[in-house]
Amino acid sequence: MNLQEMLKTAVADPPPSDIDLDDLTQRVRRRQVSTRWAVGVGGLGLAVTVAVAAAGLTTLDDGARHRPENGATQLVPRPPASADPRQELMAARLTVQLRELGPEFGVPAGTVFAVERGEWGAASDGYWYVARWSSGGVQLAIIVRRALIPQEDGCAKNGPDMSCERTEGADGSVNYVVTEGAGAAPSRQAENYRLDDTAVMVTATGGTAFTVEQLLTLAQLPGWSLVG
Amino acid sequence: MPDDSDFREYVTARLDQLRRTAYLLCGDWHAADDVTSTAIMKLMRHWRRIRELENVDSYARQVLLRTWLDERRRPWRREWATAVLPVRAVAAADRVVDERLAIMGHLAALPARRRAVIVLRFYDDLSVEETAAVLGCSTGTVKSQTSRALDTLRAALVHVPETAEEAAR
Repeated sequence: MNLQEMLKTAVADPPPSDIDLDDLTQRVRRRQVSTRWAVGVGGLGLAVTVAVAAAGLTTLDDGARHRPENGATQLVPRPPASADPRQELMAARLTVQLRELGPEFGVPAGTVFAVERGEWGAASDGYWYVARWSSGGVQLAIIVRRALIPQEDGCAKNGPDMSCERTEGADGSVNYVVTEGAGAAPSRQAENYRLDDTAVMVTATGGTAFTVEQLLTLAQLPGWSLVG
Repeated sequence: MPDDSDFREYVTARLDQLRRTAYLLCGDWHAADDVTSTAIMKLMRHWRRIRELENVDSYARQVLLRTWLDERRRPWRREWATAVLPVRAVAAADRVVDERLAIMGHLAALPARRRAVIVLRFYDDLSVEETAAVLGCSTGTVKSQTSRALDTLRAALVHVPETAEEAAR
């Protein structure tokens, strides 16, 4: 008897199933309803908190326009963002991880994650979270989005002045490191696609201060996960 | 109430196969039902997105596999592999039952990923590429894991006695 036959014999006459599809369906629906309620109540609470805080700030700043805090340069105008309170909460969580980065990445105080509407269609839910700052003359950006792990073995990003390498982590995650342009001002990028459908992209443009290994280490930090 | 008829149709058609795959991974029908139920709930939560995928079966297997791996990581589910597999003499009438116990015992002794590779390739009849896609690893990894798992199984199965007399010798 060969292995295939042995495996088929092992499952030849299963006992009656304990699985009740109706019960499972109802459990999923109940959980979805309770999640919506929790999010709704949480969102309402957040909206009230933001409104109260905004009212307080308006009275303090005499109507002056908001400027970025010291060192936190706004490099590109933000596209329209979502008003979903869950996304604002997620951005706040990612900002906490950003604040924990060491001095090597030179993140200025006041740099935060913002929610933006994805432009490449690359985020499966249409939005991504982004933080941008400048350190040592290099423009850095971290984009965190929901995306499935690419199935193809090669690199999608390839060109005459570009090198790309794809690697697989021991945990099943997939990494890409890309270098574009030569000389003193190349553009370097590291991407980490995770099993929980989170993709993290770290880009350093305009200098050689950061290696792709540094960028990949940054992209692989567990704190960027969009799950939970 | 949302229309879930296509989800029900899909799960009803695949339930038996998913459950049998889960049994070969878990080695226990109750645990297999638990893992399959959890995987079905995960599929249902994201069904609107999943049903647009080209290969829903592959995704469903991936969810089942990850659910099983997650379950194994829970402290109260951790398995303890035994160094020596029980080999006993059996009467010819018990041969089918014995073969079943033997293969399940040998599967249980394999590390999780090698067990998964064997089940996906030799029970679900997946190709190396399809197995790699489900496991989220390279085809080279699948080939090496398959080879090592087969070596282990071959070595173990050689020592399974054919008859009671042979076992007593």
